[in-house]
Amino acid sequence: MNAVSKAKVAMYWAGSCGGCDISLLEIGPHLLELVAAADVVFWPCAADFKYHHVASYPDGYIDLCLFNGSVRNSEQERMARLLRQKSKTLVAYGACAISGGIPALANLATPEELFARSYTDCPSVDNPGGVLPRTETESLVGELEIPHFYPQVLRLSDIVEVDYLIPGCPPQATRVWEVCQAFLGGALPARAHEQLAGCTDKSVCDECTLEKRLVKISGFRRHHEAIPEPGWCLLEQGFVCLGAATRSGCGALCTKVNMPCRGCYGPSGEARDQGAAFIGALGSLLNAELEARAGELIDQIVDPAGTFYRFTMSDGDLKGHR
Amino acid sequence: MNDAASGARIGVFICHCGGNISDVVDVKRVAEEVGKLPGVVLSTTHMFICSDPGQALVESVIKEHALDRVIVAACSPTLHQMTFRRAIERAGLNQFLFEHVNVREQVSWVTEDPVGATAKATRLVSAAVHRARHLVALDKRRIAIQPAALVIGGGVAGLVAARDLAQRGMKVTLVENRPFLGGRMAQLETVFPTGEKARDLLAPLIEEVVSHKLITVMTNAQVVNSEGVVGDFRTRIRVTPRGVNERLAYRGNAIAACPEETVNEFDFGLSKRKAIYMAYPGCWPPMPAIDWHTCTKCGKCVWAVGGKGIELDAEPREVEVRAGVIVLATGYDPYEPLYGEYGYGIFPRVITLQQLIRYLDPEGPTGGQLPLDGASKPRIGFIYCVGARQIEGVNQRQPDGKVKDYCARTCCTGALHAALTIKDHHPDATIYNLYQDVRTYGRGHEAYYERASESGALFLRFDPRHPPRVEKNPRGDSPVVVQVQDLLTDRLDVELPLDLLVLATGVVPHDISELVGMYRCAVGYDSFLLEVHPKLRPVELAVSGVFLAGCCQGPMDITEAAGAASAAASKAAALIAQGQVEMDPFTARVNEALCTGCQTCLGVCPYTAITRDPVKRIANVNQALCTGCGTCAAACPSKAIEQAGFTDAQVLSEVYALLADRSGAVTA
Repeated sequence: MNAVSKAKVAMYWAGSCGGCDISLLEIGPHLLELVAAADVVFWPCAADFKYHHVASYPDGYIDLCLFNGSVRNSEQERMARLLRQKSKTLVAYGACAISGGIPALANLATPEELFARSYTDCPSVDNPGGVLPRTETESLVGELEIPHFYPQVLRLSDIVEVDYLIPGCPPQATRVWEVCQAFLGGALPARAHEQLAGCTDKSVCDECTLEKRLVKISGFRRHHEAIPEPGWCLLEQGFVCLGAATRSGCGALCTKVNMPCRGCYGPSGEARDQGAAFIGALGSLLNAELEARAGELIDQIVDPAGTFYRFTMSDGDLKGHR
Repeated sequence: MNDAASGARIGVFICHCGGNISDVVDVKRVAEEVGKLPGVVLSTTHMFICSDPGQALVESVIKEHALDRVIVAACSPTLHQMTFRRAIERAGLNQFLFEHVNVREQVSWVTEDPVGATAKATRLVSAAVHRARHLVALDKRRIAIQPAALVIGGGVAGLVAARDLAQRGMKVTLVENRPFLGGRMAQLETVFPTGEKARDLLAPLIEEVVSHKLITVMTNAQVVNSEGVVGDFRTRIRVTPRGVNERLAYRGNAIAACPEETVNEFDFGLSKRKAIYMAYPGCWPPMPAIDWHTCTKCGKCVWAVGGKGIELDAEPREVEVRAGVIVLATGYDPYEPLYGEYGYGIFPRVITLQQLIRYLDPEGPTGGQLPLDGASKPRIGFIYCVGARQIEGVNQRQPDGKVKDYCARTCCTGALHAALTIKDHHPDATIYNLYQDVRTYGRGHEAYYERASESGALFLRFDPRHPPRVEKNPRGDSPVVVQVQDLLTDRLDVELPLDLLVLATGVVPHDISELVGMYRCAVGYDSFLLEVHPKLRPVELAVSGVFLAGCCQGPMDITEAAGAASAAASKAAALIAQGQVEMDPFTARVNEALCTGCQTCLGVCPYTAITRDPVKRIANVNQALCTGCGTCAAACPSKAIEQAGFTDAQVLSEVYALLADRSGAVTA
């Protein structure tokens, strides 16, 4: 394979924690195979390319762009639009880019509430002047501008057309390498409409080995409050495990070590709204003949919105605060 | 919403209903508006679409315009959905490519505002158009009916139902919870209006049933579990061992040898019986049974009969009965007065009508003698409507929190009948009837009232809000004294010293809460089972294939119970004779590619229709058992279960169309 025909790949980090970048590194020795077969033309975390480099590429120059992170401000939107323009195939990589992820939990509050909490009200903040970030600031060197803060955390697909979705928080390295291989082998058509990759049609229960005993839930516990009985379905034991409502691909990593599934791979099957789908299932699993008892049980769940929509607040019907 | 079948050719028919709809709704306008929607090939109105010409129009238009979806906006679907489904089937279209919109009961009949009504009708029909695009052809389910019936209850209603079904050539299994057949009727002495002996009437009926080759009788048998639906109910029955078999030769010796005694429920506690016992003379089966709650397995009975015919160690067994139909004939219990209600439980000479009847029975606990303590001119009182026609706030609530506010229908004639029998034995007795109303409503019943009046029995009418009071007689010349304010003598306060006070007690349903759960029976406020319609479908439960016979449905006398049982048998036989039942195809279906086998649906299915396929490790819906309730489809966290006829695409397209803003744009 000569240098001219080498594929061009890019990875970008928008509103996210950086775990997605790490997950790409986690493919380990395969990374060498990837860079042998393709040129990295943009990857701020790992290689020194600047905005003007990307801007100078011809449209469609990048064959595969892995875009991780949500869109919370104007700079992220600008990068999303730029990378869409420069990429043949744009992938929403990880839960934040697909459905808002953890940052989108902030959608339950208004920007004013968020700023107040972060810059004035939080007990560990010392800000006697009540200084809040501003988009424009006068300084000695003239007016400075930082990106606009958006009222909501958005998905990549809210901004631009997305070809593939690789779910996970972060996507599992083995799945990522499978997708890379498919790309290098020409098995990923360049354009698709939000097609899922690096996951299966089934839910996490498919890969989970814990035993279902078909008993109803008699009370909810959090995993720091009790040690689960090994080998037994966590949800039946009262630990809120979203496995049944979460698409698989992760290999049930969490439940294998007795940690309840938090739902990072997003809704399973035909479900569009992961939280609603899980709530629907949960209602059927309670050991409660009477509505009042069901209410008591549900009241034991701490932060239901954040629990059921932990990774999909930008995606589901709830959409947070409006 | 993307249109899965955007090439659909939809025909819309709006009915005037002879003005019922068109007087309020501008039907032409609706037809015009809906006609603009994509996919609508034809949109028209008709005076009566349900009429023959109306149906003919639908049929011809389907053929002429090659329609593949039909919408009729008319009356309630309950009334004419089937009419139109059949019409479009005659035109060669699958009957489920049809959508019925109710613009009469839900639009024109509930408003006088023509503008609003027209707008609402337009919106409803538009939503149906959106939904219709997603309709798919479906096939009705056909389930073969087992030509067999299960009758639960071996009283007179169950016996009549079993006999009638067998006479029509149906295989019948009759299960009776108690060890002996005959039910409540066997506890009566003579019956109104003929005065015949109850057990003499029962004997030939029982003989007819037990000797019929198509009837299998199981006594001591309890229904423990039921699966399946109309056509193929699979009922598990637990048969408690009788403890006695045909080889028992000297049953009298066995019973005499038994040292254990208990209260005899057959005599309503007026006598005792042994742990090994016969319920009544001439009972069937004609051999004793052992009451395992009382028996200590001491073995004295075995020793008394030389070891033959008694099995103290027999184990219960379970059998499965398959039947196409079920007849419930679970009967009633007499109302048991609360402690202290009219002195019941406090004064031994306050008894119930049932106990009186046992006293009057020559084969009863006293050989027909009343407990009058030798009174030469006995004074006997009856209080009517005890545990019946009770009034909230006046009468004490029952343990279920309700008052028994219904008329028990049998006690007026029953009490008068007993009073006349007393008069026959004790011509010098004085009978006092303390009543609210005398309801001798049945054929021949009024004669009892007339004869009682002629015999000199006294009638005192009380105000139910001021019921009689029963106290100890302070003068000691009788066990009790009753104070009553008599409305017939302008509220004269009357004090009656009585040697015996009989409470004409009402009728409550036998406790069948387990069966109610098993067969998902509808239950009325009075706790009796509830028929589909009291006039049009009086012996059918809403659960298809389950029929009602006798007092499980409400208080009835024997005449009525037998009539109801014959009706139930007749309806059940008619259903079996169809050979198969057709059921709508709106069942849950599992998308095997998406189902993970998380088993959430297993626990929610009320009909045990879902099992886990152990090989594919996914859910499997038994199409015969599924009733299409949709619970599993709602519960499935992966939306891997689809409800035929109510798919997400169908329901959501309809909802989005209903919620669309005025411009027609769909939000969400």
